[in-house]
Amino acid sequence: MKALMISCLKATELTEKRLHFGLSISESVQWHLHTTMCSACRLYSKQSMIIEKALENTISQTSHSTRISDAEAQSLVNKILKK
Amino acid sequence: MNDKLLQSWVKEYTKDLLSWALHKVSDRATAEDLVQDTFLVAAEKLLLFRNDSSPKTWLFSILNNKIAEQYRSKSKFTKVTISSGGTLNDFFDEEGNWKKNIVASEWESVEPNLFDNHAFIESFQKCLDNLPVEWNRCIILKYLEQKEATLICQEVGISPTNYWQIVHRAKLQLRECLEKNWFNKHRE
Repeated sequence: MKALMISCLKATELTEKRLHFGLSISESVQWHLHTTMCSACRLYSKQSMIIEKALENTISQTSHSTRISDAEAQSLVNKILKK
Repeated sequence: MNDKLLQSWVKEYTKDLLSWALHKVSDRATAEDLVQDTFLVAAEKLLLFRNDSSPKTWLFSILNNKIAEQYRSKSKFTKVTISSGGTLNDFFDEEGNWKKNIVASEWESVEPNLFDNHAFIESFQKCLDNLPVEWNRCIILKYLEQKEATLICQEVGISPTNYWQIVHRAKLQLRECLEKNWFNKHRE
């Protein structure tokens, strides 16, 4: 039984491993056992997913970007068209 | 005809492409170079362009490849290590338990449209910028190209174990940063 007990540090690391690579059977048992009992680690998992969503949205979306003035854009347009 | 088409794209999409590139690389000259490269590639590959995707989507996919290349070439010079950021001691005690002062609380104000909220995106972006550069690059590369973590590991030259440990530490920091700079301020 003792071998199945892992720390919060290990449990939250496994949360990320689970998300990005998947867990082995023993890791999966350890993780489920720990997160069932530990509310702080459950909260971490939940917020980890929110951050994951935020990453997906802010990084892959093209709608949020730095503002550029028309004049700035135009000067680059001219530069490119000259080539 | 093709030249004219390309020219019209340059006129129409340069601004969007530039602002996106600048947002990603935050260096003016590099961003401009990336946009110019994008049109060079577009000129070469114009025959491959199919009308079933919009020119804008197509140009952005070229630009994103260019940005990813940029990140990749940078990460070859700086080795990605876990130790480049803050320490785990900030969050866990010697036995690996949460420190008492890390009192995380529920994020109640997560509305479905939170990720479209510009103020939130700005805060989140600032938190991302605060991460150690190498971590930031690893993470951005993954979402920029929407690739599997395994592939990113190969590209950046780190082991999967290193990758999830980096993500873990990065998320601990992001979580703390968001807590302080967003959720705490938006609690009733």
